[in-house]
Amino acid sequence: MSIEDLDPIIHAPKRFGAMAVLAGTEWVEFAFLRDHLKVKDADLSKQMTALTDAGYVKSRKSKVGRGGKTWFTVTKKGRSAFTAHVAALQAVVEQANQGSTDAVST
Amino acid sequence: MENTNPAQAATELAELKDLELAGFVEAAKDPLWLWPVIGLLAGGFFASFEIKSVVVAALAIVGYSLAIAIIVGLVVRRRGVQPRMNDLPAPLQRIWLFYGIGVGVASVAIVGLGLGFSWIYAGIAAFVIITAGGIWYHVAWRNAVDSLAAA
Repeated sequence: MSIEDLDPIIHAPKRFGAMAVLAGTEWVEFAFLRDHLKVKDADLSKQMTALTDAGYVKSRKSKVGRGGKTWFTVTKKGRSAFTAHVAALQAVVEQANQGSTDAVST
Repeated sequence: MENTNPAQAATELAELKDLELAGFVEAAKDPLWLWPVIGLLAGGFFASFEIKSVVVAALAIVGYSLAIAIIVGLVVRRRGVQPRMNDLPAPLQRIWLFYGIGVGVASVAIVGLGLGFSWIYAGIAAFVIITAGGIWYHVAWRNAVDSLAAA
């Protein structure tokens, strides 16, 4: 795992946040994600469209309330990609720590 | 991702835990009064067997199942998130397992009480056990989530 293994789709901070919330859940409603990530409706729509187009997330509409509600879940492909992305982030941190340890010891 | 530096990666990893716990934290905010309501429904369900009618029993099974499905649906819709119960963090997994064993033992005891004595007593026992057990489960879950978030 290295910096090259970071997933460009997940790497954007808002998409990373959305994927992290989705990773611990079965289904998440649009408003919950929006409030939790502190983003605007249009911004979240754009980020979720990118994740959906990549096949990392799928959505369903429920016909409850005014205009219905949109729920999201992470796909198997999305979960694998997110796990790999987190492993790559950990590798980046570990390599940096290793580098600083080597620099101190030499 | 040439623009990713280790400090940024470390920040993202630090935020990860809170984000992954979001669903569990929200579930811990469910109202406690849900448990007496579920207890009352279960109590009514078991007590209905005292009538010893197949029709009443069938209606009770359908009615109880529907009521539980509606309550769970309303709770999930209200909180806007359904936590993932697979791969639970260890402290939550222990609570879930303990609760599952408790439900199993309590079910056997309640049915035994109904068959051996009276389904009215079984209904009262179901109400008490589900209310007390549910509140215990809820508080234990909330404490575990708080500890995980603070760790």
